[in-house]
Amino acid sequence: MIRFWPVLLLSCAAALLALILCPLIGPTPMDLSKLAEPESLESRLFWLARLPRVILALLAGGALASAGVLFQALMRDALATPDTLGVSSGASLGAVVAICFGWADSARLGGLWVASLLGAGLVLLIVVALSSSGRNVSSFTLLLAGITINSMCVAVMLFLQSVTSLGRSLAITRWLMGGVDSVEYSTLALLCLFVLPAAVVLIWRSKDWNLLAVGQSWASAKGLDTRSSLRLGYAVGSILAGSVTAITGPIGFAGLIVPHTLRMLIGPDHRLLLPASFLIGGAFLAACDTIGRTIFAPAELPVGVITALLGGPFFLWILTSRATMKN
Amino acid sequence: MKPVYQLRQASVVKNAQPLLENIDLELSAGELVVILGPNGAGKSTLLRVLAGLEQLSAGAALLSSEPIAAISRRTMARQVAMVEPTVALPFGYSVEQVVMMGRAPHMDAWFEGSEDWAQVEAAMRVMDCENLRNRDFRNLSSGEMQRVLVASALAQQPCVLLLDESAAFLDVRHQMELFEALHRLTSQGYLVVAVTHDWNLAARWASRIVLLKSGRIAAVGSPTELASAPLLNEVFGVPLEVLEIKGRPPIVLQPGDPAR
Repeated sequence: MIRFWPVLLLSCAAALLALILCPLIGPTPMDLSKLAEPESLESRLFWLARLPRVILALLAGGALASAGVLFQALMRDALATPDTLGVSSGASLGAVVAICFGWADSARLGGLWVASLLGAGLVLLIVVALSSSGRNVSSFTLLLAGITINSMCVAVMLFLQSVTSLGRSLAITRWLMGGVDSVEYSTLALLCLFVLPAAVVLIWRSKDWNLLAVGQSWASAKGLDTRSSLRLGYAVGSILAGSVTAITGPIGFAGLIVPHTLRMLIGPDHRLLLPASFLIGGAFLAACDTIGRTIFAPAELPVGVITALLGGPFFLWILTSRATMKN
Repeated sequence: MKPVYQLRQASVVKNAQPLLENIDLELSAGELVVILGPNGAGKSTLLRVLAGLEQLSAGAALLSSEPIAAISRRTMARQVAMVEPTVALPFGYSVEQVVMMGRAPHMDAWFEGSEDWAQVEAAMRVMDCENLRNRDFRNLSSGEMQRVLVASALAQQPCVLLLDESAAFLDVRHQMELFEALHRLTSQGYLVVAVTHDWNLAARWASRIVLLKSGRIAAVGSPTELASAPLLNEVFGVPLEVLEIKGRPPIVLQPGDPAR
């Protein structure tokens, strides 16, 4: 692995660049000299609004991209992501249930978080059960299962929204739009507690995902205890997708574009692919969000809209290029 | 010398379907054992039992006097390497990366060390795939894939090599070279167990042949011992004729039966 350190350094640079540049860009121009003055408008805008928002985008983008890489390896399919598998919808449903029953009314996010993680985990269990019942599950089956789970979750969410109070219904709508907002630093710290250890575990076990991407039988023949590795992978994947979705709402396709592009550029070795996807995925979402809040300023496009507009065609492109490969 | 494998009354039942029944078998280091039999005879199941990938329903399977089920996957992979007939990669791992995966049971560090690279180089040299090292595995021909898979198994530095239909996709030259390589390994003390459909390859190279039929052992013995037309007819269900060439007994379909 000659290119390991250069690629990793470049990815770090990209994430760092996003962290520094994105908060400086926006409808209100930034005067750098005023950033140090605590009471100036600029410094409040920078430190309390834009910077936490960019950090959230970096964390969310990184988590979703690395969860995408993980699911693609475990399902052995480049189209598997938290949203195509329905895991994000599960997390959303959990969050909506939490909002609906008032568990998330207080300023603390505990209820929302637990419900979201449970939702993600539950859906993942269903998908895993579906995909391990047969010997070989085609990506077609997985996608269909994902679509079905998506529609079921949406149906339940709409039902809950229609029976709940107006205030909570609005909160649900707002949340379902999916986007990164300016959040408290305490929330960011809590999210870090979920995302960073999960990402470290993922990267630490990279060689396991390499073996599992080839196949379960291959992995056990090469000495891997596949059952415990798979269990760990699914648990960590749910934590990543669920904890992020609890704060941002559903952000579609964030786990697809970056992993796929990076795999084509730097190869499928997860020791490099995972950390690079985490860093670049974060930078990518931060960039998308910056575009979203500047392009139609003062109106704001939720970042989920941007990723879906970019990711949808990308997804179709992968599908068609794969179809032509088979012919 | 103690046998490497001991199977006693080993049986595998799946979905109420007996796949292997009461297999008694001892395999020793230095042997090249070929498992032969018609489709569905349980050849691959037997190989998977030896690899520890299939649980026994009854009986015992011992590797170096230890029950296979009690051996951890990692310890197992350091002793036994399995080559599957095909591997469908979803992503474009290079040949070198696929061979390096054979080092997994030996690697504790996150990065591969000089010993790992040395073993990978040696394995690729034995299987004549050094010039393929940077190729995308998915773009190889079936024969090249098979050689890479064997190289990956050799990189595990096992003492037992299990091959499932490894020669099926190889052309004549690479078939011969594969079995010559396997034969060399047995003289270095390896135990090699290969499943194949090719009696003639078996007759040329095997030190022992295990004939399976419907999950049971029909016969075990050297190629010359098993080369009896009635036995082979019985096992394969077609009229066969045994010839003799240079002391080795190849078989042919019996001529004069247009229905076949």
